[in-house]
Parts: sequence; C-alpha cells; structure tokens
Amino acid sequence: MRALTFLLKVEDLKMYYKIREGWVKAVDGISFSLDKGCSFGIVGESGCGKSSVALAIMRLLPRNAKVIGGRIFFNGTDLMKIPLDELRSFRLKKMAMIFQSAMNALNPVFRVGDQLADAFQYHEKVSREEAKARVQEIFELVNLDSSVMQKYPHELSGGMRQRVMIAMSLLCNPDLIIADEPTTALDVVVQDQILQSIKDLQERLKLSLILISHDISVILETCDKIAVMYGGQIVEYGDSNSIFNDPHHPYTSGLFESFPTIHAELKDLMSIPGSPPDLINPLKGCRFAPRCIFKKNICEKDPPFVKVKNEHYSKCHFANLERFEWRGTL
Amino acid sequence: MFILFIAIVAPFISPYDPYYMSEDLLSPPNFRHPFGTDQYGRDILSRAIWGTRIAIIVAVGSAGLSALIGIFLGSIAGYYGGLLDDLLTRLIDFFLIIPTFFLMVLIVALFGSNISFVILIIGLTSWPSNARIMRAQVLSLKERPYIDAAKVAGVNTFRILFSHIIPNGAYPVIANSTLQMANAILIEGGLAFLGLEDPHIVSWGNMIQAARAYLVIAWWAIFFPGVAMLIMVFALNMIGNGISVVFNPSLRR
Amino acid sequence: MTDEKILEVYDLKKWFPVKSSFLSSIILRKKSFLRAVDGISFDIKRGEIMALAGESGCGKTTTGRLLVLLDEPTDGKILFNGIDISSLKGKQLKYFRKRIQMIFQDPYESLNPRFTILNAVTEPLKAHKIGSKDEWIEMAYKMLAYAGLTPPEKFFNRYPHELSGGERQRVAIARAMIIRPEFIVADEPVSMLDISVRAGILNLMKKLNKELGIAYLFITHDLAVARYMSHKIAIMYLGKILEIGPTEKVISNPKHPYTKLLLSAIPRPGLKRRRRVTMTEVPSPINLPEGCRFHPRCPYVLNVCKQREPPLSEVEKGYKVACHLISSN
Repeated sequence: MRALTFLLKVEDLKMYYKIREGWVKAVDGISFSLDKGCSFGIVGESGCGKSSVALAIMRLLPRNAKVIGGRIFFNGTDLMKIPLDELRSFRLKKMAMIFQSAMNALNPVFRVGDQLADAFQYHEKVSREEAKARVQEIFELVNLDSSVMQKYPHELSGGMRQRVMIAMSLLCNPDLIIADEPTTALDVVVQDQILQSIKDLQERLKLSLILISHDISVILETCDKIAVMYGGQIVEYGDSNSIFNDPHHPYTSGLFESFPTIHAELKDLMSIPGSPPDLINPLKGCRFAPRCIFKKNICEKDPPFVKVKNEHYSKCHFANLERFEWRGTL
Repeated sequence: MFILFIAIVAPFISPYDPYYMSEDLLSPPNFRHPFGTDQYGRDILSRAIWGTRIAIIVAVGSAGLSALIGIFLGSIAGYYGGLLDDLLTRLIDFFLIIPTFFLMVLIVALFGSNISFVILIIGLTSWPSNARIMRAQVLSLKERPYIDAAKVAGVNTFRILFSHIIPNGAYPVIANSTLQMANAILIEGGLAFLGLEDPHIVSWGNMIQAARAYLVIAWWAIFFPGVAMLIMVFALNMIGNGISVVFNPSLRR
Repeated sequence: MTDEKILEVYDLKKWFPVKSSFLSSIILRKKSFLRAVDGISFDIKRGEIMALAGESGCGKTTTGRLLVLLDEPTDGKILFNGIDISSLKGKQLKYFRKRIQMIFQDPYESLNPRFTILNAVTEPLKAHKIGSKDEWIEMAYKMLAYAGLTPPEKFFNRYPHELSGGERQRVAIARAMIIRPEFIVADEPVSMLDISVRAGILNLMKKLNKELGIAYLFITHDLAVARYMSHKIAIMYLGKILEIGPTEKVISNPKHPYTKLLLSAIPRPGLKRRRRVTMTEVPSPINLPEGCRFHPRCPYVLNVCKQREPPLSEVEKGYKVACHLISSN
C-alpha cells in the first residue's frame, strides 16, 4: 500500500460546531487513509462525530460548522485548498454521499426519475433523453424496476427509497461513496439487501466506500478497514478482522462485550458505565478515561497512537500491554 | 421588544388617582390637568388611568372566561372524538359564523348595559376560537406515548386531561387569549361608542363617547383615551406574538 | 419459572378499518381492513420472558397494546391468571392495570415533559391510591435506586429533558415497577438507545425477572436482543405467528423459511458476505396474499402454500411451526 494507491487521505482533520454554549469539537484530529477500491468503516455511538467526518469530507457543512484544521487529500488534491465551486464538481462526480434517511435527499413533489435526471443534467451536458437513459441504466444496477422512475418518493417503501439514493449517488460514476447510516431505519432483511447491493456495486464498479454506522456488526462484515470513534477522535484503527478478533482498546472491547449476538456463545452483556463525553470542553487527556475501568494516572495525558500490529493502531497508553476484559457494571 | 411592552403596560396599572369633579370645565392640557378636563371638569388624566382598570377587568375577565370554556370544550371534543366531537365542532362552527358584535349590540340593547354583563357576553361569544385551538392540540397530544403510559398506569380520564393534556397543550390558547384581550377592549370601546355602555363607570370607550360632541373644541378629551386604548391593544398584540414565539421557536426569525 | 400460566391468548385479532375510496366501496361492496393481528395464540408462564419478534408492520406492537388493554381486540380472548380480560371496563379494568404494565419504545416521549421525575414515578401510586404521601416518596426512592439511578434524591426534582435516554428508560421502568405488576409488556425498550447503554437496561430487566419473578412479553425486531433476553420466542409475520418455541432452539435451528431468512440477514462480523436468498419485500398488510402469507417470498413454496394457510402445529413439545412443508414431514 504505497502512497500512490491512496484515494483519500485525511490528516488531522478538525471540525467544530458553534452553539450557544461554545464550540462543539465534533471532529478533533482525525487521520486515516483509504485505498482505491477498498471499504472503510467508521463506527461509534451517537455524538461521537462520525457523521461530521463525512460532512467535513464532502464539505457539506451546516452554517454553524467550521473546519478548523487538517487536510483532506483526494487523489493527491488537497480539498481544503480548492475553491468552493470547484469543489462542487467534485461532489457527485468524484465523491457521492448516501444519507440515513432518503427523505432528506429526495424532493417529495417530484417524481423520482425526474429528480435523478435533473441531477445528472446538472453535472453533465446531455439531453433529457440521455439523462433518462442513464437513470434507467443505474436503476438496473441497483435492482430497481424502471417503473419506479414514475413514482413519487412517498409511494416507495423504505428499502426502495434507499436504493434510489444509491442510484443517485452512482449517476456520475464517482470514485468514492460515503454512506452515512444507510440502513439504520430499515428492517434487517432489507438492510441485508441494501448492504449486499452496495457491496456488489463496489466490486463491479471498482468503487471505494466509506461506511458510517453505529452498528458494529454491519461495519465489521462489510468493511476491510475500520476506525472506532469516541469523543471526536479515533481510538482504534486498522484491519477489521484484526480488530474484531483482537481489540486493543478498552472502548472497543467494551463495545464488543455490550453487543448481543446471534452466533456466538450466549453470555452476560457488559455495560460501559458513565455517559458520553462533553465535546465542548473535552478532557486534555484520554477522553475515555472517566468511563474506563483500566484507568491509571497516566491517562490524564493524551494517549499516543500506538502500533499494535501491522495495520492495527490503538490510542491508549496500555494498548500493547493489556487484554481488556470487562467485568463491567450491571 | 417583548419586555419593553410589558414595561409600558405595567405603569398603567399602578397609579390610581381618585376622580373628582373640579371647577375647570373643558380646559386644555395644563399644569394642573396634564391631559385637560372634560365637560364636567373631570381630569382626563385621572380618568384615563382609572379607565385602565376597567379595560383590564374587561380584557382579562372576558378572555379568561373564553379561555376556560374554550379549553374545556376543546379538550373534550378532541379527546373523546366521535359523536361528541362532531357535535361540538358544529357548535364551534355555528358560533364562528354568527356576527358576534351585532349579537352583543342586540343583547345589550335588550338586556341592559351592566359592565359585568358585557364581560360575560364577550366571553361567551369568543370561546370558539380557543376551543378550536385546544382541540387541535389535544388531537396531536393524545397519541403521545406518555398519555398511553398514564392510561396503562391506571390514571383516570379526568386526571389525564387535567394533569397531562391541558398543561401541555394550553400554550397556544394563552397566546390567543392575549389577542382576545385586545379584541375585548376594542369591543368594549365599540359598545361604548354606540352609547350602549354603563354610563356610571369610567372607561375609555365612555370617555370617547362622551367627548364626541366636543371634539372640535376639546380635542384632548378624545385624544388621550384613544391613545390609551391604542397602546393597550398594541401592547397586547405584541405580548401575544411574544408568547407564540417563546413556545414555538420555529417562528423565530 | 413455574408451570402456571399467567397469560393465555386465543386467536387474538385486531383489524383496523381502512378508508377506501367511495367508488371502490360501492363496487367491491366490502370494507377493507388492515389486519394488523390476525389470529394469534400463545401463552406465557409466570416468570417467563417471551419474545415477540418480527419486522416492522408485522403486528407486534399492536399485540402489545392489546395485552395492556390500550386497544380492544376485534376478536379472540385474552386470559390473565385465568380471567378473561378482553373487554373490561371501569373498576375491573383498573384492577388489572395494577398487574399489567408497559414500557415504551421512545424514552423521550414516554415521560410527560412537564412532570418531575418524582411526579412521574409516583403517578401510578396516586392513580391506584396506594400508600400515603410519605410512603410515596420512600417507594419512589427505593424504586429509582433499584433501577440504577443513584442517588435517587438527585433525580426527584429533575425533568425528563435533563436526563439521558438510558436514564429516562430507567425512570420508565421504575414507574412501571412501582406498583409491583406481575406482567410487563416491553415494546422495543432499547432500540432507541445507544449501544453501550442497552446492555444496562437489558440487564436491569433480567434482574427484575430473576429477583421479582416478573413475566415479560418482549417485543423487538432485533433477534440478537431477543435471544439474550427470552426463554421463548415467537416469530410474527403480517399478523400471524409463524414459529414459536424455546429461544435457543429456534435461533440455532430455525424451521420456518421466514425465520431462516431473518436469521441469515443478520450481519456476521468476521465473515464476508455471502449471497443471500431473496430480494423481495414485505407486502402490504391490507392486501394479504392468498394461502400462506409468506409464500410469495418463500424459496420452498409448494402448490398447497398458495391455496391454504398452514395452521400452527406442534412439531415438538412446546414448539410450533406454521408451514406446510414442515408439518408434512
């Protein structure tokens, strides 16, 4: 994995939101890289900043948000340095985003086919017929019948709407797709279908994928490389199999032990005590320390990123020393 | 702005001067009588201040009555639904169609112009808008899980309405009430203007009515009560707006 | 867990009338109904936790509401401790409200935003006139502590919006428990909570079951949670139960094709995706398929499946499946 194969490289990204009480440090120094054709998952609970990372990369920032620092390299180009209108051409053509709720992105008063054709025509100078043909082509890719083009968003089921969203993101042949909780609102069977579709498309079209979710099993099953986020930072990062079989951060272990499974042996779930961290005045040291049962004095200092194995890093003072077995509280 | 207008309204309530007849008839504003005097020599300023009391009694009384009836009937209509709801809704519609002002003129002309009567009449004819608002609130609130939770806990219907639904749904009614208060003052003024008001009390409407004949020579007798009325109505409207914004932040610009 | 049955449900139905257009009601001459619950039967023993699992729209929430008497069944019987409670009113209804409670899905909406926590938790005591005013505070204190909210006094005067989702759900549990019910319907109690918080709530509910012998109907769409919590599980689809049996058996060796589909759809960390079965979606509960409800999506469909609905029949002791293919073996 030499630098030349990186599609996306994020360095020390920081994005803050301004609210009445101060600046919410939603993304506070994130770094990762994504190879071409690979899938990368970001997992964390609500409020950890994972959705903000996606917005920051796409530069779809709400009015009160600001990217404070860091660099985002896309195919070598620093996205932070280019002007906004050039960035627009990046969106949809080079990178596309799928949101959690398709209703956020679809206009309820227009037919679905028209909306997608409009989007396509906005980016490519083609005729209406060509645009519609393209939409039809993509619909086939995502297993949607072309009759769906005539429907309005509310006439479609949740799964179908999400497929329309995926179709929209594929219109201009992007290199990267960012999917933010694409299946959270869906039933498990539909979720499976959607994830299967995304994976198929990724392989067929040689796409790179960033998948964001709070559902660990989805991330671990779908992605080659993952990052676990907590309090605006990445606490564990690396190959998903390596992390799943051998986590090296207390939070990651805690998460794994609080997740009920179907397949593994039935055992007591552990819960992580305490509550989510304050992002306005985050701790100077390890942000997970207040809830960590392995905490020692040294955790008052910000932990470094420790290389635990090849392609496996953890942000913990004890990353290499302990196996974090929780005997947590009930 | 909101607070500013409360401050303006408050001083009206505070100083109550006695009213008495003095010898200076119809004198223009001067030192002893800053607002002038009317045809009986009564000090306009004092009368304007006293008029505030009546204005407030009328406003609060009628709007309060209207709110009580409106909340009660609106809640019942919304919560029970079905035939009861249909009947009450028709009743509301009926009342909304009636030109209430003319009704009031008729009633007052027939039955006398006691001020308490006027308050009662205004209250009894303006409740429908409150009822409608309350009903809409109830319809949306009654599906909320905490209402289900209360039912499952065994709370009886009465308590559900009074402890859960009304406290959560009454805010738009309160906002509407301030507007109704403003309206009530105008109605009272209108009735008085037509000579239908109790001549023994001191109200702005009365003052204006009495001063009509002397408008040309004594402008102050009409001007000051008129301004008082204007300010009060305006203030109430602002308060009403303010309340709606506080409880419905999406209206904030 | 004893063998004594605390809840028995026989052929329970809840149909909602659907407003059809004027023309279609004239032409077709029939009202269409949304058959949310269409004839289900099961029983729960004292101290048992039964999971009712299925996708959205299968009727599980409606079932829950019927059991706590928030809605009246269209047909069928509900027996609680042997007594028919399907259509109770007034005082009798209130008597059962002491014994059957519910925990709701949305911790943000199941508490009145204007009630303090103390008020919210003691409301059932007031409603049933249990204890004196001083006793209320003491009981609230004990219950909040038991639910894991310590120190309890600190929570008394707070309002729901000051609490986190997990704390609110604990308050809801305390509120449901304070009158010592025998049976609780829990409708997706953790699906709106963060993952690290869920385990705490689930473990609390297990504790209540173990220590106080409370039976549950645990409604969920998450089979992994169902597996963790329940002794028995029923799989529901479009208003009917397709499979019901001991949880470990059903999960490890599902018999009904739908159950197999559900289980195969659950993501498996560590294993890369395999090609799954079907790309179809759940049909509308208003226009139900003929015969077996699942047949349009079933890979093993036989002719009989299109014509006749399979009855729920016993394949082992305490284990029933509604499938022509299974029962014919």
